Amino acid sequence: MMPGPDPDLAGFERLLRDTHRTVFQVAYAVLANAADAEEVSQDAFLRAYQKFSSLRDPRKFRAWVARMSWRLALNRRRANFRSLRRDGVWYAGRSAPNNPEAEASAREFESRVQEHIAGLPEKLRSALLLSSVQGLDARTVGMILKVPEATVRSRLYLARRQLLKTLLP
Amino acid sequence: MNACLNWREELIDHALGQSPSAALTAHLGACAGCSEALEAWRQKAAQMDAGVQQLTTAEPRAQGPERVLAQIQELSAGKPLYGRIALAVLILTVTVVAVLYRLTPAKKVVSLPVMALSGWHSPTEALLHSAADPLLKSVPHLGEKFFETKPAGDKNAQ
Repeated sequence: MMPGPDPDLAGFERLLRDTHRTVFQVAYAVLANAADAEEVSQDAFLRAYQKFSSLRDPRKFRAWVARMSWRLALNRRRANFRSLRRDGVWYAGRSAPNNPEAEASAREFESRVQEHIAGLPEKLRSALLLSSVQGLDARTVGMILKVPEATVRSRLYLARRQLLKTLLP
Repeated sequence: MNACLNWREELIDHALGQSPSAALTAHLGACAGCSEALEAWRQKAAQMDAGVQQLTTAEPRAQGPERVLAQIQELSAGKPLYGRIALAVLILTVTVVAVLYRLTPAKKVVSLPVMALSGWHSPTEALLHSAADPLLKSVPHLGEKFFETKPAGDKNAQ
């Protein structure tokens, strides 16, 4: 990769630290694999650095770099089927189960949710997953997906509705 | 927990946070099954939202930004070298082209249409000349004829 124009590194570093977690989680929402998401978010930041001088409004940095991460993650998912496998991080943040039966039931439910999300249409799934990333509001999700904010809200509602219906008896 | 079938869709919307219509509110006041189903579906929706949230709650490595910055530093360090090589190649190319241009003798440039026009002859020139031109140019003197003819009496003499 050839480097682009030399941006203000200090300014870039501040934005990088502010948005790193969000950009990683956007990639993780697509790839469901922490190692792959790390690589993709890193790649997104390097690209962002190279094109940093073309960004007119620094306030849009979060959406701008998150979109890069999103696109790169989608490309990686298409190219790499192993990323479809969950690597266990879904459960990583949990404490040791006090009630193994309840824990098993919760895992089964989450597994069903995950399965049904995979069955949603792409547009609804994208809106649902991106909206669940902390720090991304509907407006930012709209900027990532290049659709109006109202469309994001509408798709999010439809996705939740479709998902709930599949989980009901 | 049996919801009335004709209220099912509205109950789902209500469980997801939509405001109920007046008719649904009235029905919920009268139907224990629908009220019970609504409560259960609200819990299910909350579980579902939590499950979706879990899909993106993985945390990145703490050294992530440092790794990105290190790569940026590497790129920046390599940048002046690329620039110098590119500049040297450009200067060399310009010099070679200039020298070659000086060494090449200047040629008179004649455009193709002009060359074609210089070799063209009008077809009327051929029409102005004929095989009888020398004959026509010689004027007969007094008593001379253009053509020698035999007298008419010679035929009888033979």
